[in-house]
Amino acid sequence: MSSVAVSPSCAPLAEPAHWDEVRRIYRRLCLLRSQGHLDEAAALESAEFARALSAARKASRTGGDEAAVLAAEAERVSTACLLAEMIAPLLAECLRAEWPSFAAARAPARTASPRVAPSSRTPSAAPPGIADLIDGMLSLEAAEPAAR
Amino acid sequence: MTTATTEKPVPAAAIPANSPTVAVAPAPGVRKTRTLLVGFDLGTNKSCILAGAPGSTDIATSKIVPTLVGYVKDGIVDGIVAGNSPVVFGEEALRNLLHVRLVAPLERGVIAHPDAARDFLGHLRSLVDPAGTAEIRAVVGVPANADPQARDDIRHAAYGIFDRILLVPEPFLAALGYRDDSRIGQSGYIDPVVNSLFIDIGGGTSDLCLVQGCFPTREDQICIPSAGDAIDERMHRELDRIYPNNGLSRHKVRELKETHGYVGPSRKPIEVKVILAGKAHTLELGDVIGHAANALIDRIYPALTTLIQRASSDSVVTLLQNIIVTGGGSQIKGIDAVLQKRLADDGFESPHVRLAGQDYKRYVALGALKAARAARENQWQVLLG
Repeated sequence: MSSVAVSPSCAPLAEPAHWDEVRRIYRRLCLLRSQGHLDEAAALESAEFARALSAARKASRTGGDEAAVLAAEAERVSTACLLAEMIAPLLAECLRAEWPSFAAARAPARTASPRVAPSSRTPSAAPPGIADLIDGMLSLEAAEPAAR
Repeated sequence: MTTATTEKPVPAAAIPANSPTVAVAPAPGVRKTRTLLVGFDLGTNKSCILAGAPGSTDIATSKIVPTLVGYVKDGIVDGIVAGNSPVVFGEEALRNLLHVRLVAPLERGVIAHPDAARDFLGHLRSLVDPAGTAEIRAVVGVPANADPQARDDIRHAAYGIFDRILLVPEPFLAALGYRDDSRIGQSGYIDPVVNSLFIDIGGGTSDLCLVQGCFPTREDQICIPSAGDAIDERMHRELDRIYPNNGLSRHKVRELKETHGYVGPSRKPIEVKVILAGKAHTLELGDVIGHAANALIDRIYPALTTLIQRASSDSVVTLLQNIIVTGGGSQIKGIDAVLQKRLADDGFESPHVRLAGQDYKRYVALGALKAARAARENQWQVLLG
């Protein structure tokens, strides 16, 4: 019986269903780490991920490049997170433009005047951008010396 | 000390108008080959530092370090202190308690020992950038309504250690850190940055902050200079009164608080075995702990109701559902239930107080790192001179 030599770089990982599960869990793991949920990530890695990886390795008929698979998934998660970070403020802007009933994310400029309770400010329904919030902080800092 | 950006023209609002400036003195011969973003919670008892590269969501460094500096005493035999270092930090300082002069750089949330604070910051910088080749941009948490002197003290301490800095109130950073970015916009998810009240109980200060979709004003924040350390002091005084010559150190008292701390009705007995002068003794600490911790709640509660009453009538019902306790004080048993019950008994509509969870040590630093990642170039403040 002849055999066909297959380059290791293009040898498909057999039993794709098992590796799909590994990929899915590994993406979740990467996302948890990126969000700083390290304890949860560690628990996932030592339990569910380890089990899936073990099952996939047993089911694999060829060696495949496991490290490359995991690296590719990590890259996908990183790219997706970056994309979400970039798009979220743009989406918020679109929502504000499309639905004027959404309160503006940035409060109008205020001086540090004494507050009369209760406030008339209504919290924004749209998630405010962090950079905008920092702008608000710097504006308040700049206004404070003038008010004192 | 003032700060300003130097690389690009900046809007006036981005630079505090009357802030002094301090010169940056880059280390001679060291070229900054990369940038690191740092989220830094400079706590009275424990500091948390997170670091990562710009454009990445990875957290390359995550450290929680006791805010302590130990200056090794003269005459200590070689090899007693690891590396024969003249200065040790954090856990290392505690391990060498007998051989060092221990200094806590902060008291009640602000820098009390500037030299020790600089040494401590330098040590933390070495943890995130051992090679010393990175430009460090740090968002640093400060107590709510920290006064200008306290903020300047941080800038002085950070001079030459961090290249760019932003000082942001800690409870606001806690809200940012607590926020689950993956759930923003999902139905049913209440973004804590949109409408919540954070109570951050640390070692030196208890900071309360209304966070309602825009950066909180001074009136939205209250800082109480009483927190975990105040509980320790009360417990220590009471223990000395009930058990004279007990010999318990402040450190040991803190350990007892962290293990058995509670608020609410008296929980007795809480019997604890301690070793005094080499002999085992059993102390009953139920009331000692309860009285000390309840005294802190008695200071926090009025501040809590003050902020609730400042919220608009449109927002307050939802706000009452989003009162979050974080910081080390969130570990006091029963603190959420006690605050919630007091609010309900006082007639507030369906209050819900919850704990921030096991990641409480990191939320301020996490929020600071998020702020560092989101900050625009012209928002960073360079320490100039």
